Amino acid sequence: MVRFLHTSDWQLGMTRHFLIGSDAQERFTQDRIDAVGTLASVARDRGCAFVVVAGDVFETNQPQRRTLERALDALGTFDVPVYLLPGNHDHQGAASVYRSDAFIRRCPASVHVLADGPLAPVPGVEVVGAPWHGRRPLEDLVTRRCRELAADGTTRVVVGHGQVDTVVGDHDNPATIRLAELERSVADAGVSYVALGDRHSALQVGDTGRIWYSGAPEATDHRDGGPGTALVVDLPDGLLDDAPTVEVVQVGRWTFHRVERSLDSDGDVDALLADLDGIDDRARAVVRVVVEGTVSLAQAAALDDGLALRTERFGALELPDRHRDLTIRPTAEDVAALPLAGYAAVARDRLLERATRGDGVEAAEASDALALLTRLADRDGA
Amino acid sequence: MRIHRVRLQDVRGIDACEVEFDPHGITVVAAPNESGKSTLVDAIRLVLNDRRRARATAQEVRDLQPAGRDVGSVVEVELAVGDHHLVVRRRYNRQPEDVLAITAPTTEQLTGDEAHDRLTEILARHVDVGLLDALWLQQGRDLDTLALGQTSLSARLDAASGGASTGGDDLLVRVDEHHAQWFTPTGREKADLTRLDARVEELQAAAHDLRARLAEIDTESGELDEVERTLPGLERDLTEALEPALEAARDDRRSLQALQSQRETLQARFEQADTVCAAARDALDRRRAATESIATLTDRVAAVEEQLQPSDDELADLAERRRSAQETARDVQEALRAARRDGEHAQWRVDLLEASEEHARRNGRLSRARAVIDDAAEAQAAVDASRIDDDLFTEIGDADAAVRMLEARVDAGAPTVRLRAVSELSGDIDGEAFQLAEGDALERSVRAHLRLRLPEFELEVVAGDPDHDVHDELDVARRHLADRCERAGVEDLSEAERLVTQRRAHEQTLRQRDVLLDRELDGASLDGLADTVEASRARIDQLFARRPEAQDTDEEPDTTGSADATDLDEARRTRDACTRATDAAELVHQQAAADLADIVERHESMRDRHAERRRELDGLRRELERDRSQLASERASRADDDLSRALVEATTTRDAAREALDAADQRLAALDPERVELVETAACNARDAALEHLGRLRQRRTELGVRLATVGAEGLGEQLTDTEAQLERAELDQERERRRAQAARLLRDELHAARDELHRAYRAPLRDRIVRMSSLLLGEDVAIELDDELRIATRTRGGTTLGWHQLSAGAREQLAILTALAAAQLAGDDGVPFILDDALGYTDPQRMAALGALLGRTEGAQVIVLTCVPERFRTTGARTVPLLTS
Repeated sequence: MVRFLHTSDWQLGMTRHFLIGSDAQERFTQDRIDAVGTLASVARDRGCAFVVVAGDVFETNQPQRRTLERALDALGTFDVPVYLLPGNHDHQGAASVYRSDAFIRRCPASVHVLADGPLAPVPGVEVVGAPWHGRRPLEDLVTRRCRELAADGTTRVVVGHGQVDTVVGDHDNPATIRLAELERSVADAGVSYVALGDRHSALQVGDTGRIWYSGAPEATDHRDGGPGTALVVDLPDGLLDDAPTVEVVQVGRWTFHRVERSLDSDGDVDALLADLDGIDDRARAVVRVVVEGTVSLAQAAALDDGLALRTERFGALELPDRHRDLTIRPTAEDVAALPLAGYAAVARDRLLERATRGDGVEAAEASDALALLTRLADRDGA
Repeated sequence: MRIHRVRLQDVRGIDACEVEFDPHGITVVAAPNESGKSTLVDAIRLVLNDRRRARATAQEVRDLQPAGRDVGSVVEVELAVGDHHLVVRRRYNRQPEDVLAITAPTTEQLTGDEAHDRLTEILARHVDVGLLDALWLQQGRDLDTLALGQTSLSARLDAASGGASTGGDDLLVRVDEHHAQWFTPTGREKADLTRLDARVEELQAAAHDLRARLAEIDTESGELDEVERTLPGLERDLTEALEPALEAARDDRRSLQALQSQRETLQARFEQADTVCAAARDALDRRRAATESIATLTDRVAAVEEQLQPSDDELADLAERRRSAQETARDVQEALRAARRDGEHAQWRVDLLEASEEHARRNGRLSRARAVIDDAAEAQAAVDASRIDDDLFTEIGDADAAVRMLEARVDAGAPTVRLRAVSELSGDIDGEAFQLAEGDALERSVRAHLRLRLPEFELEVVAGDPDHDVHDELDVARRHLADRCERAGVEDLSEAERLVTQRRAHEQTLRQRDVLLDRELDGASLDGLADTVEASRARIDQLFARRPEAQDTDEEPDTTGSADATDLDEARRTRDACTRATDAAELVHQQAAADLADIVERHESMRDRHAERRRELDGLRRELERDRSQLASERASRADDDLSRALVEATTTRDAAREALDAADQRLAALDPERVELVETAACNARDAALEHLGRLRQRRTELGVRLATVGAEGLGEQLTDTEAQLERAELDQERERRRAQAARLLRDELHAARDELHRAYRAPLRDRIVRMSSLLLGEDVAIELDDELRIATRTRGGTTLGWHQLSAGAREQLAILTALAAAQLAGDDGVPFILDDALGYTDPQRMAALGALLGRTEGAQVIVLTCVPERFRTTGARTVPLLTS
């Protein structure tokens, strides 16, 4: 039996806009480097013979020097051979990071780029890469690579990158991996396992048990969910008919949440805030608040205040767009409670009239102005 | 609005109390300090001013609760608003309730929200709630401020609008401060806001730049990949295909060059043999040509000789014809000459006759001219001699007529003597003889007397009593007539008439003289005409002098000018006949001359040709002789047979060389030299092009490698990721901040707009009321100006205008109170209560007394004074009520 670690989509050097403005981005960046260290520990602890990274080690082919250096340092912590596949973000084109002097000079001896022919980490096992050479391949690279192989008794792990047609449904893109053909080629060539990358959450593709996405070690987006994963894969000895054993291992710390509520009452606002308070490890949680419905000025203010109070507690708290997601309808109660008289009452009534007249920008601005009036007038009020 | 009564129960320190107010005048509520005056005012204000619900939990409401007792606080106010009379009762804190009892105009009993809403509605209908709030905001609290300084009504309106019932910063200030976070007072955006825009723009530009540079890297990277893919194939092609092909082509060309050299040798050999062969043929041909040339020459000599014989005969014939023509020409010439002579003579005759005729004509004209001149001279002499002219003749005529008329008159009055001859009778009457035939009668009138003398007798008849005047007149007339006749040298009128007629004829002659003379002279003078006569005479003489030789029939022509026209016509006809004869002779002569010229030309031409042929024959004979001698000489040196043999040998040698050369050409053609050359050139070009292409690609590979390595180290991709994330963030921040700024701006604009409108609405009525009350108080006209903040800016009194701060403290105090009173009047249909809290114990008795007096003299508003020193307000005539609490 041969055991190895399957991972992908480290995308080192990624910046997220929702993290900017606090120390979260630095935390995010460091955690992603740390995740590589975690992978090294897993490989070591679980006795993996080698590690395959199925594409997109780097976010871009032109990473900052700092990112590259920290990535190479992290790669140096592996005790076993590591095989890096150039993916769509870091393809093997002429400007590839893998062909840069900075990478080549400092690349640890145990780290190999799957750019050319098969490599043999252990006797009797071949790791075959289907690297990207440009941003837009004109064919299904993985299937083509499998077709080039012949069933000769060698245990082969094919490492590829890209979306599978049955998962994304993108049949027009020539680069999309055709699962049916891939499965046929895998059977014909006697490929033991196809390690795929590009999808950020772990997924078995098809039902052969031989084709898997590992998922990214750290989630990067709401669609990833999280936390990040890697796969520990056991290849049975010599018995081609036996599918590999795959174990999903959690390695990441960051989570992405979508807190969604329809707001119609004060209670809804409270419930939404309670949802937020229920999230664990908030410093590494990215939360998108999605609301809909129609609220009064008071409710909107309560929501604003509640969210503002919690912003700093989270890795990132993506706030709803006040007027796009939520309709704020100032009510007579909203303004009647204000201790306003005279011309202030006149101004208030005019704004209220404008705010309730329509749905346009003018109404939204009037709502905002009313909300502000409420806040300023109520400062020392009831 | 008028407050009639207030009742408090369990409000702060007051367990229970009830106060009634004078609804139309001043009510002084007297109570010691700390006894609940302020509580009373606060309670009224809370019910009427804040209009908060009874269950409201604001601090003010909570403060109503008595210390240490958990009970509800009841405030009851009875008041009149417009035509409504109503009682408001509110219980605060514990078991809150809100009751409104309306007693007029109709009875209503309302509780809870309905009570609150109904009260709000009634107040809103009759009271300016904003102004009421502004007035009551500080009344009862801050008399000192009211009296000493000028409390800005607008500031109070601001505070009242913002609901800051307890003072502190008001809403307007807060809104302005909030607005100032983003905007300057003039509305321009502050740096915080524009910095966000700049940040977004900067990031957009940076992202755009990075994308462009990355696209460039992408392109170059693609190009480098392509170059690297292409290079090995090209290198292989060069070494494995192009260079071997070039070498093979060069081998072929070397073989071809050897063959070409061999062929050139054979070519030279053939050309040499061909030259020898041509020389032999040439020698043989020349020999044959010389032989043929001699034969030809011999033939030509014979031919020329043969041609010369008939030519001699023809020449002699032509010479004869020439002589004959010459003779003919001479005869014709003579005939022509004779014709010309006849013509000349005939012409001379015509000329002579014409000259004679001309001479005669001119002579005639001269004679006639001279006759005219003579006639004229004669007529002139007659005219000169004549003593009568037309005028005199007229006078004589007139005088004669006068005499006859008078004679008629005398006759008319005179007796008449009638004599009838019975036989032939003669006699005279007054000396006038008469003769009568038988039967004739004669009648005379006797003017004075008449003497009739007959043969037999003499009879004198005397007229009786003649008219002497008439007779006198007749005498005068007769004398006048006689006088005129004498002057004219005539006897009577008839002679005068004859002489006048003659004179007229002469004058006619004189008048016609020039006409006649002009006709004859025709513009010339008489002498001129005489000269022409001389000239024509001379011409005749001249013609005679030139007279041609006389012909046989010649006769002397008549030169007297009397020769008739017949002669001249005859002469002319003769001349014309001669002219025609001459013309005919001329034609004949011309023909003969032409014939002669023709025959001369032909003869001479023939003679020249003949001479030419003779010379030619001589030349031919000499040439023939020379050629014959040369041929003989050449044959002596080389016989004709030798030449033929040499040609046969040379031809054989040349044909052999030709054959060898053709064989070489066939070998060359088989090799196709053009193709060999083309193939080599093409192979060479292909190799060079491939080398150049390779060089370019290798250089490009180096360039791109260096560039990509340099640019790759800059980390542009990650920079872009980072920049795009920052841009997204900056755009979000910008949008949020802009929205906040816009809200602040909108709120501020609306608030200020409403405030300005309100101020504009208040200013004029407020000023008018202050002016009216001031004038009433001071007993003289006062003018007031309010500033934008509704503060008194100036006061004009007795023609003097002073600013607020120039006014005395007393005057300012008066105006401040009047302003408050004016506002109280304005705040409702019939004003609202003006509440003055003297709770702080105003200490200047003199000014307090003046204030009291002032309040006592104002009209219209309900005034409530709360004081611990009610004596101060005695002068107002106010109703004083004690604040009795329990």
